[in-house]
Amino acid sequence: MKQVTAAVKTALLIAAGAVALGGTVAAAPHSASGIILTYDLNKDQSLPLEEFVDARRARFAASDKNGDGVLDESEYVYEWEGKMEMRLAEDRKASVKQTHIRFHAVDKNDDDRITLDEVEAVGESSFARMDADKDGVVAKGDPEPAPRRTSQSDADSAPTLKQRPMLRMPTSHNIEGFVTLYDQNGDDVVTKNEFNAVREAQFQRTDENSDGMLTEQEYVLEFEDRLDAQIKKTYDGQIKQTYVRFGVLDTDENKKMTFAEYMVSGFAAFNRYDTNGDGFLTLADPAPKPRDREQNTTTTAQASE
Amino acid sequence: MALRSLLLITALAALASSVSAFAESYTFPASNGQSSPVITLNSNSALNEVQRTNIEALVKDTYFSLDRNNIHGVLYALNQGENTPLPNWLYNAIERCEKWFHKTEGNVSCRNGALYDYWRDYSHGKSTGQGTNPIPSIKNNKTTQPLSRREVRRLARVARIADVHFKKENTIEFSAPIQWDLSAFASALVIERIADFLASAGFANFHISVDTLQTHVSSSDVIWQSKIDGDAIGFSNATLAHLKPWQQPAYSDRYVTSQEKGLISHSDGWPNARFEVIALASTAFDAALLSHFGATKPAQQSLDLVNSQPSLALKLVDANGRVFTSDTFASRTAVNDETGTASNGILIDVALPMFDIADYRGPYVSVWISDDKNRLVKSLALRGTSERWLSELRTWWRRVGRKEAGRNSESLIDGFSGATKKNTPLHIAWDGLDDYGNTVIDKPLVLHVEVAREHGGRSYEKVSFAIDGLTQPIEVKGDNEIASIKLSAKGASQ
Repeated sequence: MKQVTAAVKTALLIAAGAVALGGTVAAAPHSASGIILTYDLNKDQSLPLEEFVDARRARFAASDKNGDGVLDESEYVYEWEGKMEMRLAEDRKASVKQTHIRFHAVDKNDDDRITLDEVEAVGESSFARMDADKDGVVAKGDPEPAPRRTSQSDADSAPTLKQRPMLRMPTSHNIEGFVTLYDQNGDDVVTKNEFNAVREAQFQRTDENSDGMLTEQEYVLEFEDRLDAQIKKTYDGQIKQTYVRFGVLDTDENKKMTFAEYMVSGFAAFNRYDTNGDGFLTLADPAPKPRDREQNTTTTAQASE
Repeated sequence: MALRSLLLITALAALASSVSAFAESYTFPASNGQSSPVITLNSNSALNEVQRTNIEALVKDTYFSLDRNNIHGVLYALNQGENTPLPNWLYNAIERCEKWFHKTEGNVSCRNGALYDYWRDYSHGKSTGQGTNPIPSIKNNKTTQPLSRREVRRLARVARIADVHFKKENTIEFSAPIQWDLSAFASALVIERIADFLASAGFANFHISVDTLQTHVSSSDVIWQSKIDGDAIGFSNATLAHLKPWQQPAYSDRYVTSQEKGLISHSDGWPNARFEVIALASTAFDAALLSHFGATKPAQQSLDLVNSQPSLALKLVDANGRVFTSDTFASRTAVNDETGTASNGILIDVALPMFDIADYRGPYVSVWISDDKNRLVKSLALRGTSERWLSELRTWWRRVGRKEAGRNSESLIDGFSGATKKNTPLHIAWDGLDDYGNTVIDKPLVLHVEVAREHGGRSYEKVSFAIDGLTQPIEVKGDNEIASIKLSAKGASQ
């Protein structure tokens, strides 16, 4: 069995290798977990190459709406759009749920209202955390803050399968994101005053009825606004990227993607994460070397509106 | 006369002995797809022709007045900013709606005309795009816009934060983003106006139903028996509203039906369908508004509201069939009058100690009932929303929470959990029905109370009991995070 696997893999590798890879064109998810969750049809948390190929074939067939054996651009994009909508909806739900929890975490005195004092108390500690060199400002080039203490679940040694969220909000948990969000005068330095001013403005904007307090509803609705703006951005970016990907994968540029062309991105992803090269993608595979390509979009925060 | 042919007069067969006195039934057909009211009277009373004409005019006038797009309608004039006095019934309805608006932080509202217009334009635009039905042109017919969740939220928000002042002589001052719209509650207003008319005409016993609302008025408190999904429900001198939001289109009119399902939430403008609702209130309007609120908001939020208002009662059913009821729902809707133990249930009081520490966080609390084989019978309370912390309620998490958290559909945690509330004691009235509405009166049961606090301890207590064996209250002293637990029969002297 193992030999068969190896043989299949070699054969497919040759096929894959025959098609010149224009950069990395992984349509498959960008993590081992994601690939296993997407294609491990028997849910045994281990994905042999054969199962992967079968699952990709099934997906190819399902995408091929007119059944002509090849995918045209619209079929390819349409399929991805459907997948994406589902994942964004799930991520949105999880994100909103988390926002309710965050509300109660900020509401220190449990009175179901967040006051500016409570917001400032949280701000105080997060500014202090980001200001690792304790010079009173957070500037580009400052050292990154120490990672937060690992939670219990991280301490559990067994890694679990987890789809990376497609919807990722701008973060203020690294220096670059923090500076992008809070630097007002464009000098790449965030002073305490700037930081407080931005947070206060955000508080006022969130406080619909201007009573100086945020209810859970006000808090969550404000976040949903930013969340939906980010969804729109993610969505548009993904669609654009899908067209680009089609162009790259359609190497003979006949606007028809064959299964072999389709599998180029699949093999690239599989091989990248099957780091021990046994033809099985599992969580036991050590993580691959990070690509030192363009910055991940999430680490670059965008000031919201 | 032409009028006579409009009125269908049918004699209903007696449904049950308690309603046998009601026999004569009148239907008033409404035009334009509006719901037709049906009035049922005592067998020894009848509506004369003048009364029927009056009622028919009343029904027409109500729907006509509430039609926002009718340039001769009074609501149209109001929304145009004209300062003509409103008829009493409409002025009062808007005023009552505003009371609900403030009570529910804008979650029930009559201000959302612009929001409904957005949904209408979107739904129409979408169906013209498909080009199947000939649609009459709508004013300001825009090209098909993609549905924007931010835009609907903005529309809901600007209407929510606008100012409203009720002035003398039935006039209302309000700022522009508001477009009054009561179409979702039109049936309730039809019922109320008919009821007022009947009462003023000397009728003391009648039953009116429109759509899924039914009002029963009886001078001798005779209970009207109704069946909802096979369950018998009795009520008197009140209105019962039944709403199943899952399959209801978010927007529909004579020409189009939106694909999106649920009720449009007045707080964020997006369709929402959390619960099937059975709502009971002393007026039809309250029943209709309460059912809208209950269908779109988390169970704890609406049950808290209902339990603080004696005139209301509420039953919620989630997508998995799990039932949540307000404290008085069982007794208010009992089919027979005798207050037997069946509708009484028990009271559970849990006291939580206060810890005098700087960063005191309200504890996570779960109260549930199992049978003697440890199978879940009823979830009674769940304080705390974070799954991370709910899992600190270890016993509860292992027996209940873990399975619930794993479900993809609306789970118990999403629908039922609420905020931690410092050390406020829990006072729970349980009607003796399990999670799916079946009685467990005579079974041996175990009450479980588990409390866990961030940076604090964890306590868990069990109390065995049977509902019909609860002649004396049971009191248990807890330790650490639980001060005491008390079980007593409802209705027993304290």
